Formats: sequence, structure tokens, C-alpha cells
Amino acid sequence: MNGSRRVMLVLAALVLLAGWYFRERLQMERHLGAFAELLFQVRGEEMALDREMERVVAFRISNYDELVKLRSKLQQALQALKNLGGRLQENAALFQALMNYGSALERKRRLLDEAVSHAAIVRNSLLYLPVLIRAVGKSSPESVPSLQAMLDELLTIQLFPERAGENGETLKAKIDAMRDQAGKVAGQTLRHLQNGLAQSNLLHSLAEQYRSVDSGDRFQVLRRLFLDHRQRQGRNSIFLGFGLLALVAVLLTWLWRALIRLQRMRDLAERARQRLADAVESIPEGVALFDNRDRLVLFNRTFAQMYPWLEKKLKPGAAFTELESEIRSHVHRTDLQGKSLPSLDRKALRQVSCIERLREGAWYLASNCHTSEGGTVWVRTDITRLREAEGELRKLGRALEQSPVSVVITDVNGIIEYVNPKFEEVSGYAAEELIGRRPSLLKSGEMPDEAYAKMWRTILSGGVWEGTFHNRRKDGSLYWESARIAPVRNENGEITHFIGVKEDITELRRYQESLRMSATVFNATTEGIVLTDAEGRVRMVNPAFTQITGYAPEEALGKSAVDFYGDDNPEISAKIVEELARHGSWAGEVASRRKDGSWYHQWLSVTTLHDEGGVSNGQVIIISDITQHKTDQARILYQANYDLLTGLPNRALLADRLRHALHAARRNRTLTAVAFLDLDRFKTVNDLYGHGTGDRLLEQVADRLQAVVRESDTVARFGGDEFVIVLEELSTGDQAAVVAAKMIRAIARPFDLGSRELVVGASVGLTLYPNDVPLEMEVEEAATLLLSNADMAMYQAKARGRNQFQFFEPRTQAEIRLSLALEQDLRRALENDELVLYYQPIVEMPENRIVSVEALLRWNHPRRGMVPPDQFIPLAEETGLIYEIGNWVIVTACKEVRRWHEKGLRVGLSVNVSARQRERGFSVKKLRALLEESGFDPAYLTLEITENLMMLESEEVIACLRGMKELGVGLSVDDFGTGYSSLSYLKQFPLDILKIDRAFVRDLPDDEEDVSLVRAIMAMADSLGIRVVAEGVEAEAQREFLMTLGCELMQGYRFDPPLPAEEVLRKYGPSFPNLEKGASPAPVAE
Amino acid sequence: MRKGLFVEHLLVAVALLGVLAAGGRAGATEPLAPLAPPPIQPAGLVELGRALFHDLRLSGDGTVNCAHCHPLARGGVDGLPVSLGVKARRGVANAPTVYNLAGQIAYFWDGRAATLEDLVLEGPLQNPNEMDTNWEEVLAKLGRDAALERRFRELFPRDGLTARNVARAIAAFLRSLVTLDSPFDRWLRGDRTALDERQIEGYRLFRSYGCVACHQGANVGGNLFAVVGVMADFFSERNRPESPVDQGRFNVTGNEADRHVFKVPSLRLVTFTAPYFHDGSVKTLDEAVVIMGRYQLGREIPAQERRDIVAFLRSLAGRHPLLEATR
Repeated sequence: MNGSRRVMLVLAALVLLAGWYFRERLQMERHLGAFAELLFQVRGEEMALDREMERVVAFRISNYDELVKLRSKLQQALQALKNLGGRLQENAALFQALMNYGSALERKRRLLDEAVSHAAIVRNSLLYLPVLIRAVGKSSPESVPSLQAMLDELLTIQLFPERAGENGETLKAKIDAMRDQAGKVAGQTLRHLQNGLAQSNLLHSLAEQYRSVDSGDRFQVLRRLFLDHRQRQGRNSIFLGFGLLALVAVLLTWLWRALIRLQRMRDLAERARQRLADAVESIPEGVALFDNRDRLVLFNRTFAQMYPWLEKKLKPGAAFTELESEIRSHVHRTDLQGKSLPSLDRKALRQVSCIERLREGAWYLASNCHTSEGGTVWVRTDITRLREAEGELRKLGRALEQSPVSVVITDVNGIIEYVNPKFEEVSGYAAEELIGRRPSLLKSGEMPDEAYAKMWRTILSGGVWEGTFHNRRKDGSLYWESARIAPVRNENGEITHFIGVKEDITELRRYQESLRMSATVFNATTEGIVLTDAEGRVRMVNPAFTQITGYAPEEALGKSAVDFYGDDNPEISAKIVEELARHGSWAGEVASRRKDGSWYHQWLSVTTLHDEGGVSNGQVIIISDITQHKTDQARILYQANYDLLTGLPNRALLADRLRHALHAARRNRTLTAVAFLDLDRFKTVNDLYGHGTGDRLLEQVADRLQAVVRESDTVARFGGDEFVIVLEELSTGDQAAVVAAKMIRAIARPFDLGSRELVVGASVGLTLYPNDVPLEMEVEEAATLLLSNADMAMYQAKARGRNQFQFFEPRTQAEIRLSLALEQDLRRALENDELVLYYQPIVEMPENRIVSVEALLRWNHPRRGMVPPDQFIPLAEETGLIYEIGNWVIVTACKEVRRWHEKGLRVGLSVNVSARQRERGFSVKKLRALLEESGFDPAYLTLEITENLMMLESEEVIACLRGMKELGVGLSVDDFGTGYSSLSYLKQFPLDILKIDRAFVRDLPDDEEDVSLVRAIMAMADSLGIRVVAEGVEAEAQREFLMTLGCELMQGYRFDPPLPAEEVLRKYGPSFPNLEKGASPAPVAE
Repeated sequence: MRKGLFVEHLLVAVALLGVLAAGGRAGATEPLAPLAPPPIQPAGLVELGRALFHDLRLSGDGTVNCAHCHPLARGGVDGLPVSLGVKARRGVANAPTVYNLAGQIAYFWDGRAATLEDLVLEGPLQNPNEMDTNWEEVLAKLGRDAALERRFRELFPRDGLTARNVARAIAAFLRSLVTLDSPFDRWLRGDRTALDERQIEGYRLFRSYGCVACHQGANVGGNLFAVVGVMADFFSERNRPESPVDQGRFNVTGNEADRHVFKVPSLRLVTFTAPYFHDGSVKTLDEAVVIMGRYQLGREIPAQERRDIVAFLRSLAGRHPLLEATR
């Protein structure tokens, strides 16, 4: 006991030690982890702050809210970091590094605050200066250009601080020089310029200071020290871990030895106990031994097997009383004489003998005795076999007495020694009248004596005789008895008695007669008959059943009857079973399959049989084969409703189906479409190849049509080469359009008519219910109307050309705008020449001379008319069609403009190219091929790229653009100014033209900000020799203003809208006086 | 050479676009933004902060609460050049409004408090001219109020009633004081009828004069520091001697560059908060616009344009239930 307590103590100590160690470690890890996380968060935010600083200096921030958020986030994170750092004070170097880094950040923050103040002032000047310069313009316009130039210089200084010193001096000198002659307003402008210059210098010096803050180095120092610290902490903790491990090892060794000692003592005790147990085990009786404290010491397996329910409790140490009460609750105790025992007290239980009867039927002799120790020993002997033999005998006696058959026992001489009560009942004689007599007393004289003699011979020779007696009762009546008589032998094998067992079979013989007659009917009838048991399993079938169903009796027996007679449709079969359960019988027509799978129709009658108690005990099923009758009926029906050639529903059935469909549509609020399909060249086929070929064509058309519609839809032959298709349960008209298109495609494929292949087409007219009929129109009338609508629409389709479909009413077209249709249309648009190019002239000032045109794509949709590009270009980009469309545009436009050149109108051509086109494979090689195909001089072609293409800014894009440039084409940037974030990358691109976006032109000349912007772009482009095209010029005022800014090229409604090719030629062609023949070629690129 | 020039000029265009982004085109951000609703905070905390804001026990002699100098129904200001604290002692700077403090760069004219909690912890409470007490005293007084103590326990199960938690509660309340749905915000969000023509003209002037360079963001200011007197010396032309409070942020940083530097105030409730500037020396808004034009922009703004600008400034004031309590 003491030993195990010590073991527990040591274990507890181990657990505590390990717990403490891991807790310490975890805490340290968490603290250091949090510190690291914060450290890098702070660093990240610091870098974000650096970026913001650069944006502040570049005036890229007009709203400081986000900056303030970032600033306070950094401040909070830094504070949190310092708080955590407080716990690192033991590492003085690390703590100092943290403080150093913190103060660097503080300094950065302070410099940023200051920079923001100064940037605001400079911004103020920059915002206000254009207003001032405009004001100057009113009083002394002559000084405006030089002021404007100074403003530009100020901006340049702001953006290129590295040259600020030298440029600043020049600007300052200019300001000073001008100050003397300046008026009041101009003086103010100069003051602002000067102030802006001063502040800008200050700002740059602040930015310089900011950049020179050595927070990066300090961070690196801090980071290195922190990592060292962390590593050291890790090492310390590993040392501690090793110490702990050693301690654990020592304690485990001690634990091991203590356990071995304990084990050895236990082995000794166990061996002694084992010997005793072996002895007890070998006794056949069940034994259980209790010590003087009434605790179970040992027991043998027999005991355990005798009381299986004790299994759980039967363990050494179990209490006497507990086991006793468990046993008592399962057994009935009697004394040795069989009298019931009252429950015994504890004392009596120690010394008692009794009989125990278990519920399971076993009998035990139980005897409990004292032992010398003062305990008790229980001994149990199984006496079940003994008791059973006893019971068996008693049972036999009772069986004879109560037997339902007559029993008679005679001695070897045939003298009756015993008859049972049944014998008395059947014969009418009492036992007393029979005992001592012979059974021949019952002879009726109806049986020949020879029969009796044979019986005696058989039984005397030791055999068993079986036969029938025709006997006479005491009252004189005759009866039939079947009997078995057998000798009874003693243990030596000598016959001592005969026993006769007899049964009155008078009634049975009568039954057998009537059964024989039923069986004849059962076998001879032509109706199939099945008998089942209560569960519906086949018990018997007649030959007619086999004949009808093809199942032999042995195949049917024992199976579920409904499998043979049930309908092929399991739902109907289920219904029959249900009806049967409810009413007890069912009769009706059913379609089933024979064993070979062939169909047959039967008239089925099922009746449930009941026994006297009204409980169902089986069914009689009668099957009459009515297949022939049904087939005849169906053929008549089919001929009335179906077209014999194609097998499709004819007009009569179509009318019926259409009515049903319309009813359903009205009920379910769905759409129904009626399509009228007419073959386009059927008459020709008939005339050229004869009716036989025509018929085969119609058959194939029918097959193809059925293949494209759903099974629930109806395809009917309306007559001749006309088909009507009813499409049910649609939700939109588009679905009908899709099916119509499918049908047309299906018919358009060549038909293989044996010797020849034929191509015909189809036209389809579509109409929708309820959309195309008046509200509240009766279904009957609506059906007629729909057919005529569809017919009419079919003619319209035909009029528009072959292989077309047409909706009855134009207003339903609105529903077909869905992209599915649009996409299909777009794929077709290229083949069908639906895409059209318009050309918008780009004119040169001042004489509005055309120098170039921009090719603009339009889609002349067959049903929708002109579709604007913003509706289909995204779709084309999405589906990849943009590649082919783009190529088509280049070739077509080039060919067109080349034609103009030949006619003397020598103008340039601009074509838009998008990033998607390039992704899809538009390359330098491709461009060269397209140019060759169209025979166009590349010098006249300018590709307009969008800023999004430039934004990709990959080497690949740049190389590609340079390659194109080498072909001789020009490059221009479209919508310049709308994507300014990428402007700094512009230098990468070999550009010739900038097109100022219409958004900046729109508010000219009133919006002073736009004025400033356009002026800046112009100044820049001018200095480079890059030409500028102003897009979207709509008003004369805009034109004039742009001219004063020096913009020479313009495009917009002020001059021309996008024009069809012929219109351009007509307006600007050689006959137009404005055009000088042989004027310098127009390419706007250099 | 040519290429270098090309790049240079492109960059000039970039800069111009950046500067002029005030025009609000091509996806650039507006310099002014609508005020966002206050963050969702525990309701009990805001309520507690509101009670403490009105609690007289936060002053030494029990006569002054926060609302004394910042009456909420009157725009969060008392309308005096400098406020009167306990025993009618005079403060040194004009009391700013307590509305729309969230998102500001720092607090007090000189920005000496970094957070709203700091503002409460080290602010008017200890100032002998304002509330004239200390935390020990205040916590002792509040601690005697069992109900209040319980509310603190509920909201701060860990430490209950402490100076920091009092500051948290009041700061939470201050964060809830956002004046939403001003006519100008509605206009920014697309309601073109929210401003009349004069106000729109005022906004245009506000931008083109460059006011917007400093007064920007959702609070129309409050998110940067700026020197007073850019184009001319405000303090020497003012008819009163310079006092320590005029040194502004210099008092906090000791940095010479920060002399006369102040936090740019938010203009959201500027029509409520006369008199103006840190010294409360200017009585009317019109006059304030004149001075701003003269000293910050170097420009005498004509009277008609001032009226338009003031009309625009009026459209900045949004609504708050406490602000409208007596309106």
C-alpha cells in the first residue's frame, strides 16, 4: 500500500514539473510571438507611411483622412510594441534598440506632419495660381505667357527636386526681374509664385530629411537583436528541458524498481491461490467458497456456468448476501419434497439443502454447509436430467389420455388391456365393456376375413400393419377408420403387447371425392388460375396460367403472385394491391409481360379468401387473355390519329394535343409555342425524283424533327411538306427561337436518300400562346388562330430568305435580346456580312482639311438594326470573337481606304486595337499578313491603343508595339487622360499621337481646370513633336479655343459624325474643292 | 535629350492631373467626402459616456461638467472667446466643438493629445482654470455611487471603475457625435437639389481659392497641422500681444518649425462655432473668411464671393439628435 502511494506521489511531481515547464515555455513563446508580429506590423505600416510621404510630396493626395488613419494606426501599434517591450528590459541592448527605432518613427511622423502642412500651402498656390493668371489676363494680357511659363517651371521644380537648386535660381531671378514692372494683380501672382517656390524647397528638404531618417537601419538592428534574444530564450528553455528530462529519467528508474518488487510479491500469492482453484475446478459439482466475512473467496467454472446471470458479480470478494439475493431472484426454491420454501434468513442459509428450479428449466440440488474457518461452502448438483425423465413419463401418460386418435393396447393374444377415451368416444363402448375382450367386437362384417388374417401375419412377424377398417359402433352405425398396428417389445426384444392407433376417416373420404372433381375443373379451364397464401405467394397455378404467361408452375410457386399478374406499370400494380387490401377483390384490365417479354392484355379478377374467422388466408386470381381483342382496338385508333407515312400525329391528333397543351399552359401559366415548318425545296424534289424519294425525305425530316424537340413536345405532319410543332411549358419565347434554329439547322444538313444526297431547307413561323391571342379567347378558337398565326409567320420567314424563322408578332422580338441569341448572331454576323465600318474624319486646322479617318465598327443586325459597339464588343471580347472581328476590321478598312487612295483621296486610317485582341494572338506577324492581304501602305495606318494595353507594361507588349512600329505603322493613345495612373510608363512606348479624351474637351473653354490640363498636354506634346488629336469636338467655341491652344487635329460632330464609306468619298472625294490633289500624305505619325 | 524632355513633360501632366483632381474627374477622389456614420459601439458604453459628459463630479467644486463649455445643443461650444471654468476662471484658448472629433489627427489646438482617451485623461479635468481636480479625487467621488460603480463593473468586468475606463466611456460618447446628412453630403452623394446655386458657386470658390488644400477630408479639416500666416504675419498685425498659447504646436514639440502651427479646425459646424480661431478673436464668419484669405491665401476676397463661400460653409452642417434637441 505504502509503495503504491509513493509511486503516485512521484508521478504527481512529474506531472507538475512538466506542466510548469510547458506553461513557462508557452508564455514566453506567446510573448515573443506577439512582439514579432507587432514589430513587423509596425514596419509594414512604416513603409506604408513612406509611400504616403512620397505621395504627399508629389501632391497626389487631396484628402488626408486615410493618411491620418494610417498615422494613428502606426502610433497605436508602436505604443503596443513599447508596452510589450517593457518586459524585455532585462535585455538592455534590445530595449535600447526598440527605443531607438521608436524615436526614428516619431521623427518620421513629425516630418510627415510638417510636410503635409507645407504641401497644403503649395497645393493652395497651385490651385490658386491659374485663377490669378486669368485675372492678370484681364488687365495686362501681355504678361500672361511669361507667368504661365513660370508656373510650368515651378511645377517642373516641384517634380524634379534634383535640379531644383539651379532651376530655382533661374525662376527666382525671373520673378525678381518681372516684379518691378508688374501691376498689382501680377505682383500678387509673383508673390504666390515666390511663396510656392520657397515652400516647395522647404518641402523637398523635409522629404530629404524624411528619407534620411535611419529607421531602416535601426529596424534591422532591432530585428537582429530580437532574433538573438529569441534564439537565446529558446536555448535556455532547451537547457531547462534537458534538466527536466534527466530528472524524469531518475524518477522513472526508481519507479520501475518499485513496481518490480511489488510484482514479485503478488506472484507468490497468486501461485497459492491457483493451486486451490485447480482443485476446485476439477470437481463436477458447482462450488463456491466464502470466507468468515461472507466474502467470495473462490468458485469453479461449473458454478459460474450454472448461474450465468451472476457473471458480472461473480468475482473474488463478492458479498454472500448480494450473490444470494441475485440467485434468489432467478430461481424457485423448494425443499427436497417439492414443497415451496419460505425465504430463508441468513443463518438458515449457511446450512440448508433444497431444490432450485431455474427459469431456464434447469434443476439444481443446492446444499450450503459451514466451513471450519467459519465461512460457508455452496455445492450445486445439476439434477435436470433426472427431473426431465420423470416429467417425460408423466407427459406420455397424459398424451395417451388426451390423444385425438384412438389408441388400443392388447396383449399378444389380442385381448384388450387398455383403450383411451377417444377410442371409447369413437366406438361408443365404455372402457369397462372393452377390456378383456378382443377388438373384433367392432367388426362390421363389411370387410373380408382375408384382410384380418394378413394383419395378424404382419404384426406377429414383428412388422407394422397399416390399413383401413370398416367398423360398426355400439349403436350399429358404420364408420371408416384408418389404423396402424404395431408390436411392443420388452428390453429383450420379445413382443409383449400390440398397440393400435386408429383414426375416424369417414369425413375425410367424403372430402377427397369432392376435391377430385374440383381439380378436374381447375386443370381443364382456359382461364389462368392462381392460388396464393395469405402473404400473396403463389401456392398453385393451373396449366392455363402457364399457357398464358409462359411461366411453368415450378417457376411461379412460392413467388409473389403480383409479379405474374401485375401490370407492367408498378404504380397500377400497387393500386391493385391497395384496392385488394381495402375491398377484398379487384377486377379490371391490365397490361403485362409474358416470360419471353412479349405483351399481353388480360382481364384480371382477384378475390381474397377468408377463413371462418374472417382472416385473409389467400387469394384466387383469375386471368383471361384479351390481347387479341386489344390489338384490334389499337390498330383502329392509330389509323385514325397518325400519319401512315411518317408515323407522326396527323391533323386530328394535333388538334387534340394542341387543345390539351393550351389548357395546360393556361392552368400552369406557362408559354406554349406553335411552330409551322415548311420545307423550302420539296416540290422540286418531288418533281425531279418522284414521289418515292419525296416520301423517304419526309420520313427522314420527321425523324430529325423529333430528335431536336423534347419528348413531351408534339411534332405533327400537317399535310404535304408542312409540319407543325407544339412546344410546351416554355418560360420565354427565346426557348422557342432556340428550338426553331435547331430545327432549321437539322433540316439544312444534307439528306442521304440511298442513291443521292439532297439538300433542302426549311422555313419556320413561330407564334406564342398566350402572347399572340386575344385575352379570354376560348382554347378551341385560340388553337385555330395559333395555327394560322404560325402559318403566316412561316410565309414571312420564307419571304426573308431560306432557312429562317420568324415570330408571328414583332413585339415578341423584344424578348429575344438575351445574350444566347446575341452570341449566336454575332458568330454569324461575320459570315453574313452584318458588320459594317463607319469612318469618322480627323480634320486639320485651320481649314478643316481631312487628314485621316478613324474606322468605327457597327453591327447591322438583321432583326435589330444597328447595334452600338458598347453592346457587342464586350461580348466579342468575352467569346474571343474579337480576334477575328479585329482582323476583319483592319483588312476591310485598309481595302476601303486603299480604294479611296486610288480615287485620289489620300487620307490616313486609324484602327482601334484592344488588349484582348493581342491576348488572342494579334501579333506583328499577323499585322504584316493583314497589310499584305489588303495591299495597304503601312505609313497610312495608325493603330489606336487604349491605356489599358499600356498598363500591362510588360516587355512583351512593348516589344510587340515596337515591332509594329517597325512595319511603318503609327501608334496613338486613345482616351488620353482617363487612366493617368500609368502615365509614368508612357516613356516606354513609341507613340506618335495622343488623343485627348472627350471628357476633357466637353467643358472647354469654360472649365479652367480643363483648360489648364489641355494646355499642359499641348505644351508637352508640342515640345516633343507628338501630335495631338482632340476628340469629341462638338461646338465652334471648342474648336476656336483648341486652335488658340495650338491644337491642330480634331475629331467630332462639329465636323462629321461617323460616316459610311461612300459618304466620305462623296463629301471629301476628288471632286470636293477643298481637297488639294497630291497634298502631302496625311499620316499623322512622323 | 529629347526623350528626357518628353518624360519630364509627361510627369508635369501627371502632377497637374493630381493637383486638379479636385475637379473630380477620371475617378480621382474628391478632396471632400461625406461623413461616415459613427462606428457601432456597445450601447451601454455610449450611454455611460453621455452620463459622465454631464457629470458635475468631474470638477473640483462640483459646478462644472464637460457640457458646461461644450453645450451639445449649441454645436458643442459655449460661444465665448475663451470659456469660464470653476469659479468663473478664464481659459486660455477658444473651446472647439466636440462634434466630429473622430478621425482627426490629434486633439486640442496644439494637438497635444493623440487619442480621444488621452484628451479625457490629460485634458480639462486637471486644468486649474477648467475643472480643477485630479483623477484620485474624481474616482473617489464616483466610487461612492453604487449604481455607477455597478455599471462600470458590467461594462468592464476586469477592472471596473478606473480613470482609463472613464476616459473610454467618454471617448465612446464623443465618437458617436457625428453630424450626418448635411446638405453638402447629400449633394456629394448625387442629390443635385441639395445645394442652391450660391452654395455651388461657394464650393467652386472654396476650391479655386485653394481653401480646400487644407480644409479637406470628411471633416473638412482636422486632419493636418498648418502654420497661421502663410502670406502675411497674422500675429504682428493682430491688435494684441503674443501669448504662450499663440506659439501653438511649438509648445508640444519644442521644434522651431512648429511655432504658430495649429491643427486645421474642421469646418463642419463652423456656422455654430463663433467666435473663431484659437484665440476667439474674430466674431463673424465673414470676417474669418477675410482673414483666412488675407493671411493664408494672400488675397482680398470680394464681399460677394465671401457671401457665397459662407453660404457653402452653411451647407456643411449635418444633423445629430443632441444637436437638434433645442432647435
